[in-house]
Amino acid sequence: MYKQEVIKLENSYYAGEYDIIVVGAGHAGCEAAVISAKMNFKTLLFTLSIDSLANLPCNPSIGGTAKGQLVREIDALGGIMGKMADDCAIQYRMLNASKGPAVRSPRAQIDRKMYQQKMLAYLEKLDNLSLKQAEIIELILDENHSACGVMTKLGAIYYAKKIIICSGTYLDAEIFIGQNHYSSGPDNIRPAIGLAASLEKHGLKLRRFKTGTPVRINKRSIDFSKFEQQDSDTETFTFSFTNENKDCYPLNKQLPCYMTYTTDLTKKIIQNNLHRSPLYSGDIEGVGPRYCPSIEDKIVRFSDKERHQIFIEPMGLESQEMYLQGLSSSLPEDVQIEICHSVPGLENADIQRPAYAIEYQCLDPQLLNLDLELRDIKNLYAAGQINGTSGYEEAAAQGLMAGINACLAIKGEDSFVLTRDEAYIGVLIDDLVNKGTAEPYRMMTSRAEYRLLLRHDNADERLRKYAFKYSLITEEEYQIYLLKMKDIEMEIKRLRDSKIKPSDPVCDKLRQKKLLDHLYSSLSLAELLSRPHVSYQDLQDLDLAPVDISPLIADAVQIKLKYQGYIDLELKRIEKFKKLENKKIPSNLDYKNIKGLSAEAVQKLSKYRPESLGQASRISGVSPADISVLLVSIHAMEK
Amino acid sequence: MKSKVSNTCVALATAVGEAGLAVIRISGEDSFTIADKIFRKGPIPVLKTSEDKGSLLHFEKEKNQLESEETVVSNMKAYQACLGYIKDPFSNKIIDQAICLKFIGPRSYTGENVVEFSIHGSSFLASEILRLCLQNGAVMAQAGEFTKRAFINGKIDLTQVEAVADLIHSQSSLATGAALNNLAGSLKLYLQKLRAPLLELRAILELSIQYPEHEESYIDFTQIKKTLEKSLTDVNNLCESFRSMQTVKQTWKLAILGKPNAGKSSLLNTLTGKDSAIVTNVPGTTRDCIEAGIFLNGYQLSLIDTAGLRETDDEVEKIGVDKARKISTEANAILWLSSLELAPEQAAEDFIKEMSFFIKNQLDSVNDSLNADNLKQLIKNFLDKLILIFTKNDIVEFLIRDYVFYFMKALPSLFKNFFTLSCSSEYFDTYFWQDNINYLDLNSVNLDGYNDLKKAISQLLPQLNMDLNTQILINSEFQYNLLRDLESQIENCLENIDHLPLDILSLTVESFMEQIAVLTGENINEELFKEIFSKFCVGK
Repeated sequence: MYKQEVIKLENSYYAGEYDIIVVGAGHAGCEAAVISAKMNFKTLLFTLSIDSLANLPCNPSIGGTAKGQLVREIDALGGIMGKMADDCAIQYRMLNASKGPAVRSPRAQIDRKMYQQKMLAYLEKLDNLSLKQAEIIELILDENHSACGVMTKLGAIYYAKKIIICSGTYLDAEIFIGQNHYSSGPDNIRPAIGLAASLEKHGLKLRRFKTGTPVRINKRSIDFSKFEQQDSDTETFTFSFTNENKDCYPLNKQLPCYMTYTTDLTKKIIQNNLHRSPLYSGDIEGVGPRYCPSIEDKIVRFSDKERHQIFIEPMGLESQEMYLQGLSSSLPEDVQIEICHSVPGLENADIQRPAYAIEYQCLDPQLLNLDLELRDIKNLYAAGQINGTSGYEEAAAQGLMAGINACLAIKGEDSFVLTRDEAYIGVLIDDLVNKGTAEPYRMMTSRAEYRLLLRHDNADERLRKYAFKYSLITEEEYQIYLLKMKDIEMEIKRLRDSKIKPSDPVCDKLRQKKLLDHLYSSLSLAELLSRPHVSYQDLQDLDLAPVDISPLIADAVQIKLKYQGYIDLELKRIEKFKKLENKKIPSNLDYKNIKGLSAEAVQKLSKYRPESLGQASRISGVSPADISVLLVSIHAMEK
Repeated sequence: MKSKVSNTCVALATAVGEAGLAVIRISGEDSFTIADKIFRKGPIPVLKTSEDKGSLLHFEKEKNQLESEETVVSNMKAYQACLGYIKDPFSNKIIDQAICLKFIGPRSYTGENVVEFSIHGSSFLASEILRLCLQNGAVMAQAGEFTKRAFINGKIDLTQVEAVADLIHSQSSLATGAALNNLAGSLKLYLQKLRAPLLELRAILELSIQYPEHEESYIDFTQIKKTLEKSLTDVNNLCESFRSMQTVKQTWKLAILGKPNAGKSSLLNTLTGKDSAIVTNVPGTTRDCIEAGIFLNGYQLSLIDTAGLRETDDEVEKIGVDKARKISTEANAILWLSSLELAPEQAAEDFIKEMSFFIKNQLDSVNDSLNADNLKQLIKNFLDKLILIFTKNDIVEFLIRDYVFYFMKALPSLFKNFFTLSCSSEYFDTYFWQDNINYLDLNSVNLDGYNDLKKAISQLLPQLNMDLNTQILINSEFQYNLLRDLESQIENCLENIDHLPLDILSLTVESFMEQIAVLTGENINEELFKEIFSKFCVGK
């Protein structure tokens, strides 16, 4: 609706004016609201249900491959997710610990209820933030077709300079369980009805995506003797750089996860009941993610596979509920019970919540600018699952960026856009805005072409400078960071300056440990450490390095020295990439007049109007051949 | 705005030089209208004047000629040939008879409107017609411009561009076969096949990184090594094909040597099928080297007829003789002609004298002196590229084998004349040499011996271990260097694979694929996801 129309409505009232309104208090909404309040803007955060904000409606964990890196980046930029996760972690795992530092990913099991409570407590105490339980049903535009306010179901009208929509999976949401389907958000929270229609009325084209979640069962009905137990790592970590020197949740109190497999019987049950799945009967029209297939999907697509893994994860310290990762389904409830009971250890499983598929409305992210503002409606930002992503961490990252950019826009400053070589967040948003996505987008390490640089351990080194620049972190937090960098730098300098001579007695010890063959001339400790077989631990064992150094510093030093060669190669690739990336495309270029472009390329390029050749190259449908043609044409025009 | 590439360009599409036919190609938006102005349909009209010089014909315009004639090309059907003639629209001079072919873009080589005129092969005629085209609005095409346009207009990919360049520059038929093969895109196919297992490997590595807790994310390093070894072999084969290609593309030099009047020029003329060298029976007719090219079994050969080798006071002839000797050391093969008219002792002495020059030259080039150790090798070097040809067997009958035996028997004694070397006969196993020498006899009247000669020459050329017409090949330096680089990187990777962490290994495999993608021009990332999610059942 437009401002003039809203004012005339009978059952409405003017309720207040804010700098920033955030619609939805999921992981995106919380980050957006928190950062804008921290940046001293008067912020209003709406949620459908205060008891359900910051919900983890699917897996009870935060982090994981690529997602762990995202959480670290969010934290480095002053976001809230990492700190909250640290407070609520009940099990820690560093995934890919042995596969190289570039792909190491932290993940923690999270006490779901605790996470929500702590987030609520934090939000309630935050200056500049007002939290309200309400359903937003109208987006209000001004005469310039720019967003200027929202209206609640009860007729309250709020105005703001910037509005950030973080509606998650709630827009016109519908849940599917077998032939049953009903209008509802996750966990039986009410859906948001009306807002989607309002957005469409304003000319935004919406589409329907689908996702799903598995059953939850009561712990007491499980026969754990039939599972493989997966304990926490013995070495813990924190997501938040601010918490690096703090204690983690005690190891002996951490809860284990478990693993089991489906059986032949599971397969038979599913095959016999496929016709009762709304996916195969055609009731569900939404596009689901390839990487989150339901169990029936897996059985159909990989029919020759004998068994599928199931991970059993605790939902919280006090809760008896267990999450069955791998058993996502939209089959009828009775079939779900049968499936559960066909799995060893779950023969008597008592289901507390059934699995379901959920459909929701979302935006094509190609309608966004890189700062997450809608191209066609000024002052309106979108973040999270509404942009076609999936996952708490992906949502939080966008919420944070949308929040920062909305604030910067109010200040009249340039927007803050991270590049693909700076952060996974940069990859995420660049992929969404330039490539779009045909299915719910999940971050993966392989999406980042410069992942050697985008490690979880150096997220602070990559991003703290921005956090400081935009005042997203406290002075104290910045000082901790500077101190850490200084420590790393000094230790590297020491290793570079300390030389071993062939006559040194330590050479014999090194030879004994097979860390060195013959030494002809002097060798620095840095050079020694850069050899494949030598670790920092070895240096410590031989008194060549301090034993009281923080393990984080030791690790950082080791990665920097060992990977220098590869990192240099990576930097060269970036250099090459930037040449193409930075080649500007004249804004008035008429693609129709360029001979040799494929029809699809002309259409896509005219539609998205990329600013650079790099951006153009990532638009799907634009082939490398098209890029060559563009390059030649731009050169010709410049002459 | 009219972009630069839309200009209509013209060039001679066939090689410059005298040939039966030449093709002039006009490509671009205005090709048809430019062609309209200079092309007329039908037979060349009857001459009215006789003051023409050479092939330039003059024709008075008939008054009743129809205006429609000036849109002949615009109106004619595409992809059909039309007989007509080229006429200067200003002077009305008729330049040449021509066959016009019309192509409508994008269904043409360049993807633009194209007109091709087949004309008589004369550089003068061609330049006249080019001048006409330029006068009527075309611009001169840059080198490679047609191919460039074809690339820009998406008609061919990068591997095909290279192939076209090669096709244009290749002179031998084997090389042409390979270039045509590439043009059909078979290199691209080969590279795609090379890439497929790497893509799969990358998917396995990425799966293991992305889903570390998944049961299928187990990494089998033996399998990875096997895959990489296979890739190495494939890349290796491509590189090998380039080296073979160089062999094929190379011009092989054949030096024709012998005493004056041994019949060298006759041989050259017979082999080339034309009178390249003046043949008389006066010794010393050929005073300088004469070079003529022929094709033999797909190889490009350059025959070099040399001055007859003899000691002479004639300064000019002396230079010729020195040059001939120099050429013999550079040549890939030596055809030594010896007339059967000579007494075998004399012929042997001449031959061995020249052989010693050859050996001397070889020693000089490596700054070495003759000794018992290298003598055998040096002689072998010489014999390996030698064909001994006895000429004029129509005049003198002789049992050739006996004749050759004289040569070999004379070796030890004669050698002493030229080298201060105590040669014991053990270095000169006469029978060994006899078995290792190529010889035949022929005459210039009966051509039977020439088939034997051709066979002998082919045997001297390097034998390629692949069929160039079917084998997929790379043939540009650019492709070769890229693949050589890749080859060494894969080797390096295999060497260190036990120490490489997965993140680096995956990155390395990605860089292999990126390098292959440079040659095929494909986007790899999207395919990776497809590969992962179509092959593995992962996810929660």
